[in-house]
Amino acid sequence: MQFQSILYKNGPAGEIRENMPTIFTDLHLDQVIDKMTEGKEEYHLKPFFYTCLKDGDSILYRQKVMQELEQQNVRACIDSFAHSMQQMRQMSQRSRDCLHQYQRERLFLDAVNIYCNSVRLLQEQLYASSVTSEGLCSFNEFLYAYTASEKFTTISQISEKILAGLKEVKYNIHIQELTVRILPYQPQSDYSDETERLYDKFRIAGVKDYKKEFPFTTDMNHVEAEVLKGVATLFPELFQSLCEFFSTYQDFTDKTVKDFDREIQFYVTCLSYCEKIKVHGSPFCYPEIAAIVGNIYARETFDIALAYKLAEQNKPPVSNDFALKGKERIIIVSGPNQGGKTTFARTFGQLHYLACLGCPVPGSKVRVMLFDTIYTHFEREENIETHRSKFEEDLVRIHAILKEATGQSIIILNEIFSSTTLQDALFLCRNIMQHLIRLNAYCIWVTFIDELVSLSDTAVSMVSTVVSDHPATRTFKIVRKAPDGMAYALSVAEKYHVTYNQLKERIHP
Amino acid sequence: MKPHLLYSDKDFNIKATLPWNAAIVTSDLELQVLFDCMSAKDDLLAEVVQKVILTSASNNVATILYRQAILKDCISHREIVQEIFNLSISAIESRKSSWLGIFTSHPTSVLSASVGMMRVYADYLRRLRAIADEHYSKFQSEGFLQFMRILQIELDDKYFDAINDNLDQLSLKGGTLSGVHLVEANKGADYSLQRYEGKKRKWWHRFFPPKIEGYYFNIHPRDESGVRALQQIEDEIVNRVGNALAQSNDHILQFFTLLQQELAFYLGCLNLYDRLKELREPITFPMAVPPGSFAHYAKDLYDPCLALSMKKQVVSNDLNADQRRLVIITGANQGGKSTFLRSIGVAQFMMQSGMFVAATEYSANIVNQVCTHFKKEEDHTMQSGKFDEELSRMNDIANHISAGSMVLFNESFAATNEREGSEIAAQITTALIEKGIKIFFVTHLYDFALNFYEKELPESLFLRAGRLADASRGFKLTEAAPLPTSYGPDLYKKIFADTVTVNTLLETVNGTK
Repeated sequence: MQFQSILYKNGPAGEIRENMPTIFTDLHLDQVIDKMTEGKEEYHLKPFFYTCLKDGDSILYRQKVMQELEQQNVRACIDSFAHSMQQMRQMSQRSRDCLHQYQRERLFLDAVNIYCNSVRLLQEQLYASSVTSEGLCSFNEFLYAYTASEKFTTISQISEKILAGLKEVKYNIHIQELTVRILPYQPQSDYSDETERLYDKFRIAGVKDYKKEFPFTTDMNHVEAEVLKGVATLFPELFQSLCEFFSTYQDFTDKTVKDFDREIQFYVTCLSYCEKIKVHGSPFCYPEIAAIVGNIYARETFDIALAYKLAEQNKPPVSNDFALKGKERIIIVSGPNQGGKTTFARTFGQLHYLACLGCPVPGSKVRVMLFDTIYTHFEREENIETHRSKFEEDLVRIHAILKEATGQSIIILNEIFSSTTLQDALFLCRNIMQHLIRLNAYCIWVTFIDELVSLSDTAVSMVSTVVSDHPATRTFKIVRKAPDGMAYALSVAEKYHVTYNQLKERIHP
Repeated sequence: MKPHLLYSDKDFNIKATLPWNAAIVTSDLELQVLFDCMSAKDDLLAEVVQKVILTSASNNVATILYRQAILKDCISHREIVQEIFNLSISAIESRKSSWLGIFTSHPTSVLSASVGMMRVYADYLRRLRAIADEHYSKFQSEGFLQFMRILQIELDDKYFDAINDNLDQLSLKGGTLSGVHLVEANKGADYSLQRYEGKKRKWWHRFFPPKIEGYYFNIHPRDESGVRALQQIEDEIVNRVGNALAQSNDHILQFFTLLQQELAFYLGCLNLYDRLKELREPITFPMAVPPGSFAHYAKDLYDPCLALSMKKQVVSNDLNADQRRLVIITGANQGGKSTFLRSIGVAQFMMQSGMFVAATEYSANIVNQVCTHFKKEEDHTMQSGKFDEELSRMNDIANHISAGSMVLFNESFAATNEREGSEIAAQITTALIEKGIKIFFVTHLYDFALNFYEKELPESLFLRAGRLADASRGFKLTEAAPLPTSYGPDLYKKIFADTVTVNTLLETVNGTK
């Protein structure tokens, strides 16, 4: 089978989306992708993260490549290839920007040379590391054929020859008042050496250095350019062949190679991100993907955006487990505030999303469902422009979600209707719960209205927990148990010194 | 010589630090809409109005009255005010074209550039005084009268003659004359420029150059090192005078800059005045009550930011809260509660800045600080949960407020369940009012509102957002006890009309209650 793409076994199935899905902000996937692709902007990788895979085969194809890239030797050859390709692009760019013919042609030659060498090296290294994943195997076969092709070998040989010739060029320059002359090279000893020798007897240590630094730059002024023209007249054949090479081989790169260089970075960025978290002890694994609705679970899973921030402070995140068996569909998360409920809901969404990209997911053992769409509803700030109350906005958005969602969707609701009265919130949540039960989609719902659990046996309750002797300390563990109706709000008030007694003490008369 | 158009006794300080919560208040009260309208896309106006309004809590009643009077003059004679403002702009701008010489290290260049600059400034000053001469009698405010009187006294004709003479001398047309001290190694030093009354050059000198008296020598034009040495002596001679004149230029620039900044505030007010007039919204100059008592009376109070953003007249409210320090606002969603709360906050800032306010009648005590505690979107930095964040912000407020402050709460402490939210809200509210802090509290926490209502505190007032019989929202607030519902079912019915029949809905309603 002919190689198509390292990301898509049979080429992309649908459109690759350029704009960020709306759920990214709520799930903090925007932060994750920003961090992953930081410094890799030239590859324009975000669209790959914005586009979910829709079938298990495609996911497996990526998982295999990803797993192979976890091997040090395979990663190393991809990294060095990427570095060379970067150099090649920079050199080509400088060549395009260059105003002076002979310099432009030389920079182009260098770019071609880097390209040929790095492609050949990649082929050799992939072969030597005997890759087994379908994606990399198939790409290696492609490379083998490509590097043996006539076009590639011709370009490679000619560029080597001209480069060798240019490295031998020497000449003399003569400046008289305002006159500069370029002359054939006459071998002589360096007069500055002689000068140094002459005064060597006076030399003392520790004097000021009057030398000016001239940092190397490829920029060329018009005088240098005129000099170069003179040099070309001394070596007409060599420069003629350079000129011909430049005009003949403008299109020296191969599209498949270029695409590979970009697409393989999807894996590299993803793995680098996970590695930063892994070193602090949090596990990642390749999830099992359930094509039809069934049991789903995750062990030792965590929020990867939070885990990354914590990793920067050398701390591991708190991990949590969940499992939905048989007809269980809805997780109602309640319990003390600041107990990690929102983080838990986010984790649930991240887990599914990452799994469908073919990425490793946070956790030691994970089984998730192949979903059609993830819907999220997290509270937003009131917006004066829409002239609609927050409460009404909440309702409108929930309505839209319930209308679009199917039994294959995943719905994440976070503290909706908190801007209304308890009575109203109860009324509305009960109604929405009825919709959700009918829909039979997987749903995670963070709410303080914990009695929702009792409305259906497809709903299970999970509660954020506190340290039992010290209710102000959160464990950030979310466990499956009946809701306890305690929110420990006063302990938070005390922490911030805003109880009645504390305020009376601290406010100045 | 100072403009003193914002304070009778001090200069406006555009570098003054903003209060700790300036960004929060701006965002909560949507003040940016107000600033944008006032500045009309002018960067200077934007900076000034924002600074003046956000720092207004430190103004006393006298300053407020001082500015109100000036603002009234501005409304009556806006073309004159605009003319003075434009003049300051041109004066400031002229520096950009005339001041190139200052970038050189040669004092001779500094001096000649300073002379040129000063001629330009002198002209602007003369024009400024001419405006004062022509229009003095039309103004009534203490601020403008004092300003113009000073222009007339300080910038009289004799003064301009003196400037002219000075600049003629410093143009060094007759050469540079200096006293020099002979110091060590017979070097010349301590150069001091002397006034020089040179003889007029007559027409016949062209043909018969006058004999030069005493000893002299020439430097050949191609003797570059000689030319450089001579230049250095001249530089030394004019060093001090160049500096003095350059500094004077800076002082005058500063005067025009202050004048421009202080007027910018009033021009901003005029922009707002025009816009509200277009919208047929009323304005009034409020009566600011000194601190120490609780006063708050409003007729037809509306949120100017909302009116500006919706580009039409908006619903107004009346308030009679004299002697009250706690106002609790409950009632229907979308019943205009947040808008009312914003209108209170915006009016307080406008009043204390010396502006008119958005109402037909208004009086309130001035406060030493306005704080807002509005419900926020989930924090995306992952540092804390919502309720934690709310209390953390309350902690910040408690760090800064004192007796005589005002706090506006908008659906605060609702990020936990109602029972606990009510408890926290009650504790905080009780502590603050006992400490002499004025509170406006928009809330859905029925337990909390009812609790205070039943206490029947004489200093409390309860407003409710009503709804009309057909269930379309009315925005007017009325004085009324809190009600235990926010009419959520109505909205549900409206939005879920396609999925729920009215019958099943009614069943559910009955089931819940």
